[in-house]
Amino acid sequence: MILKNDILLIQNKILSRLDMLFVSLAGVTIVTSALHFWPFRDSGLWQILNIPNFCCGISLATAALFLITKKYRSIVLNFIPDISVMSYLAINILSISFADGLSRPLSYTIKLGLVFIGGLFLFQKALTNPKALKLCYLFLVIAVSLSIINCILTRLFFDQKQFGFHGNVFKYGTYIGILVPLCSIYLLSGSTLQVLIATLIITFGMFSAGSAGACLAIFAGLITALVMIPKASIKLSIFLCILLATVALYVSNKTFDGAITRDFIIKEDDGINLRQRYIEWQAEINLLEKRGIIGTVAGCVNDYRSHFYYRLPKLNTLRACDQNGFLAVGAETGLLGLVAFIWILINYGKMSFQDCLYLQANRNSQVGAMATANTAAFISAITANFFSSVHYNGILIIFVFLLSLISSVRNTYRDNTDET
Amino acid sequence: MTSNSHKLKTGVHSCLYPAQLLFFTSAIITLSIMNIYHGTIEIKRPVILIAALLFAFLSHQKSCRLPVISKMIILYIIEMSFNQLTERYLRVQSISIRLSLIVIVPIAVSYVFFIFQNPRCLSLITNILFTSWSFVFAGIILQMLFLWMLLSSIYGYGYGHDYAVLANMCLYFLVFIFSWQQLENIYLNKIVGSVLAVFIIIMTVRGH
Repeated sequence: MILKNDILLIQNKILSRLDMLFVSLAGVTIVTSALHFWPFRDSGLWQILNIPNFCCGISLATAALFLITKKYRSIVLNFIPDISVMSYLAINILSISFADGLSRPLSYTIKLGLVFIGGLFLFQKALTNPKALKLCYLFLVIAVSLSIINCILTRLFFDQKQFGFHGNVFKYGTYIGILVPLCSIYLLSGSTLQVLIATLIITFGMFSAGSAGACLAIFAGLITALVMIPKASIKLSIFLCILLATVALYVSNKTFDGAITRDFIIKEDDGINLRQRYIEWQAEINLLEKRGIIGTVAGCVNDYRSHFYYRLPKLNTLRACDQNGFLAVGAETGLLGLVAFIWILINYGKMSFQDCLYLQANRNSQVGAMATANTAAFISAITANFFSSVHYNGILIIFVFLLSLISSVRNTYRDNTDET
Repeated sequence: MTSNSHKLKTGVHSCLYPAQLLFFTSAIITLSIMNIYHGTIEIKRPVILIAALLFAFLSHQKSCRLPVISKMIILYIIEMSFNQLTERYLRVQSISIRLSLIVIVPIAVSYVFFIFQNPRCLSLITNILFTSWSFVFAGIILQMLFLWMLLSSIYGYGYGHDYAVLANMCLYFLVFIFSWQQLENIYLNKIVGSVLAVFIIIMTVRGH
């Protein structure tokens, strides 16, 4: 009997240590996401096994270990990804059967599976209580601050082409386009210091943005929060932040020689042709005629897109990562892949909106703000996805983290009625 | 009770079941035969499709997730078969009909049988998938309109290919609504999966 109790005690200790390990791993993943591929930017291996992906790999291995032990199997089964995510991954795998070469689609799909399955398990396992949830917002603040500070220093004092951690204005824009509303709207309902930090994040985030997608994503998130938050004082703070963000945008445009204006303009620098971004959109739509279901295979849109320009000019002025994420998913995995991706968005979007309304009415203002921040960031992610893609390596982890936050907020605050 | 509802769900009790089985499987067989002779895009790694079909065939019905994934796999392969025929036409004197449209007729008939059999039976997942398709349609049409405005204002012309894209999207959507509910029937699911597996194996043996 005593021995049995001892075993139970040890098992409980192991499980609580495991919870701490997952929270730590989640923290490391979030903070190091700001480093992107630093310090081995050019290493192919590092692009797959960078710190966030490595943490997802560890959690995937742990999940596999739990799955084979009968006793802990239920832990994994509780955090299995939604059926929409599984269907989307299945279509990505099926599309590989049409690939000319195996390396690119395989590495793309492995990364996708690693982040979607491993990442979702990691974050959902870590965010099982209110303390862990709040801690993760702190990690987010650290990550987004690091990213913005580095970007501004790089743009003002070093080589402007090395844009922030990411070396790419569109990737950076998607990263902060999602994270700035997520952090700042949560912080705006807190103490004076938190409000000050939120204001700084919004102002400098907009100042550093540099792309149309990032600006629109931040504004979309802030406006969503402005509409959804019921408390007048927070509404006023958000409104003032929107005004500050507009000023920051104006100053940024002046400081960086109209970089943002150029990104909004629909014509090329020659003043005659339509910007290649939009011609690319048209090519990806054209592609749906011949390869509507098959697509170009996961991760291989670049192999085929130039075949579908038809009468439109191909100027080779398209910059890396300047893509429409929705059309890229449609072009790569076909209409069924796009349907599955929209299915993911509908599932989590619906959950997020419902929780936002419910928690604002039934919980304290900070919990309501947490749900509102998630909804606002979700809208920002959708907006940013029109001008870049949430599927890029390094950005996907943030998108998956947002999905985990949405489901964890539901599990923590809607199911545990005794929590305050 | 559970067994009865299960049988109802699979349609085994219905007298329409043989007709449903006949129409749907004949459509899939026709589609497969046409593809063997008229396929346009090479399947480079058929082993992935075969493995997926095997998974769909063996997936456990007690689980709530696996049957949905197996339906998704079979739907993908049916839709892929239509995709293979999108560029092919049957020409009779001056009339040209898309081969893919010929196959859709028996699938449509079998869908009508299904509706007779199970009125108002849309599951939650089917509803969400309908919504997803609607978003896809709305999103692509809006982006087409946006691009049409840009192209018209700069180059003076819209874009003719958009109509063909829309027509294809409608075709794939029809295949989805006809096939998805049919695949709810476990036996049909298995039969269709087997026919498609045979088709892919023949394609592999033939070398393209």
